[in-house]
Amino acid sequence: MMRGYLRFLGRSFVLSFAGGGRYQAWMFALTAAALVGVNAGARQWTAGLATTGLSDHVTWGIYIAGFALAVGTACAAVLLVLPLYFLRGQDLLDLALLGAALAVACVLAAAGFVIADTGRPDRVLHILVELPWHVLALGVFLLLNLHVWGSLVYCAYLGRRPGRALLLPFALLAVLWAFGAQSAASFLYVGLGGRAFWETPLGALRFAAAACAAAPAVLLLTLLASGMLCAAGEAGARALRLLRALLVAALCADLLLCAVALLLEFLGRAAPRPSMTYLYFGLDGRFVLAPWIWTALALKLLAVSLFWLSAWSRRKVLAFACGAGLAGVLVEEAVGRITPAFVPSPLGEVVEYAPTLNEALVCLGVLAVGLLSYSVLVRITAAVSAGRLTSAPPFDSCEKTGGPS
Amino acid sequence: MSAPSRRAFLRGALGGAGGLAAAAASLAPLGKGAATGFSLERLLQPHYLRMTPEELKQVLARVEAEVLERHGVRAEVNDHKALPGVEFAFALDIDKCVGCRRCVHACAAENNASRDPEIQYIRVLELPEGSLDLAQGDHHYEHERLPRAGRYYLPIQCQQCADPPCVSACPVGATWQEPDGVVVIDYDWCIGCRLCMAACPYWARRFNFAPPAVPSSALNARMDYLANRPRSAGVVEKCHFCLHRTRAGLQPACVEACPNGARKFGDVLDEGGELAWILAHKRVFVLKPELGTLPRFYYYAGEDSARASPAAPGPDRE
Repeated sequence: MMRGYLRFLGRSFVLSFAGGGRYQAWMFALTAAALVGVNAGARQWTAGLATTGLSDHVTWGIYIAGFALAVGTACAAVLLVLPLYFLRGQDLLDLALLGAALAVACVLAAAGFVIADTGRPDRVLHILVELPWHVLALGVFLLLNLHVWGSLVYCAYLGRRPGRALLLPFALLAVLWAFGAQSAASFLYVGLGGRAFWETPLGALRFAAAACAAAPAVLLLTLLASGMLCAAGEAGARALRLLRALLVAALCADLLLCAVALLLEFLGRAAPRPSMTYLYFGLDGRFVLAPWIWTALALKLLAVSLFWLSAWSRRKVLAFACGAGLAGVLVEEAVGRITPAFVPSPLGEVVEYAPTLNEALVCLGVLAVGLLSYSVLVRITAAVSAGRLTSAPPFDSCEKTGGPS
Repeated sequence: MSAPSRRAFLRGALGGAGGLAAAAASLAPLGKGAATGFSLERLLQPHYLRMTPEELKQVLARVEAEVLERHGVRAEVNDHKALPGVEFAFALDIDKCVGCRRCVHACAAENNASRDPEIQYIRVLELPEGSLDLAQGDHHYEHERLPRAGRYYLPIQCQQCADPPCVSACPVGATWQEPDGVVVIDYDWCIGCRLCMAACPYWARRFNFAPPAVPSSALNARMDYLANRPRSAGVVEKCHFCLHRTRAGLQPACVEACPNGARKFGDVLDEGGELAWILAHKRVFVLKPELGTLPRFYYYAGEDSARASPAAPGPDRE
């Protein structure tokens, strides 16, 4: 058994390096981007966080925004996709696998963003010693998803139905845990007193809606790019329909919540909070964020209208709409969720923040590492589900043997 | 080995070697060493509150040795504990403050704060008379003569809250409240995540974005572990009520530097003390009372209470 599992790991390892020209080019580009990020990170390590655009006024920027979005996307991927698999039928196995794989990669990226953000990454040990609940939440979430993805893939590799006893409790726990991990990300900042920008119940909802749009958008793009659709046939088409419905629903909810927030802020309050005014219209003649937030809104509107108006079955249009929606979410999260809370400062100073090139390159590197791990997981998933990666019989039932994770 | 597999092997080996070379090249900046400085001893050092007396002694000696090596200054690194039955508090007479910022610079000098980039614990706001709206404050005023007519001055530093949001925000317990009310930081335990800075409603915390630079000639050699010993890049610092002085019976540096006696510091539990008298007889107010942080830093209008009426406290929240 153990030897068979090691053989599976070995074959997966080899497979992650082998592939067609497109795959090779994609992985090469990601590796190059990751190394550029490592280089920028090394620069930051030698010179301190002065290499970033952060200041005592705006202490958090795109690192923490990236962290929050990565965690949100991980949770959304699990929350949306695993129940589909267990409730709507086993033919959505590919989708469940992709969801779990996305969650794993996103948690890795989130860890990368946090380490990039700390002033003393050498003291990561202290986090493990103290083990604050948000770290515990994310760590357990990572293990749960590795287990779910691993046992589903391995059973498919063995040609067995996954053993319910070993899978279902963990999958259920992963779904429930996703709520915990989601709150770990959003309530990291939502509960902080004195930052009026975060003191709104709409904030957590809007964050959840954005994450619930990001996850299906990434999964849709994965299905379109990985060639898994052709292999999956009717089930693939069904997965596509479901993801599209989820994406449109999440984007609409996101836009609706945004409209509600704007109406409440600028018509419902005697005086809008300065941070909101700064974000959407600028304050004291400073408006670095405003063009970006409106761009994000426009991209989301574009995505939704493309979904409604076009013959969505055309793959190129679908991919474009997904890309626009995802870009909208990325831009909004980068500029609209974290930094406005710091402008103006608690003592009323308006100091703006824009990331430096080095900071952006570090982000690029973290994203590349996340995408690299995601691509490897997707590659293995696709090979297993297409039957290209499969064991020779006979093997014990998966139910009897230990759960690979 | 057949020809295609040999070719594949060569290609793989070449790719692997190229990849390793690229990885090594990307790490080249590390040759300059870390901004934070690195010492295994310091890395494995326990949290201040969990140190045995023996470990603490070794750590204090290590800090002294580091200062000697870096600055050539024989520093005395103490560990003054909180005095039993004492609760420190601050009161500031806004009628007497003229906005000269001598407290700001005395504080930086006393606490070995980085001069480049400049780190200051005290921020003085110039506000129009009759307003407590901090958004109207001028942080960067420069005038030939102070105070300016129609303006008053509001110095703000760590408020040493009785319910400090920064302490509950810290994910690793590197900042905590001492029995005498002072919120302190173990600079060797801080991971530099800046959650405490996001949590502070008074903008009292500062981060070492770059390695702090203090000229050796200007170094204050009387230090405390939780107070003004040298910090490293990547950690947070702030006002600690000069505990290396106040726990030894002295006044904070900002109080000594104030030319007008606007700053009063003492033990609120001392019934015959000045602080207790001010709290009992003056119309004191605190900043942002609506947040429930319970600051130990009080403001009052001493000479002429009618001038800046503190009867309606609380600046607007931004």
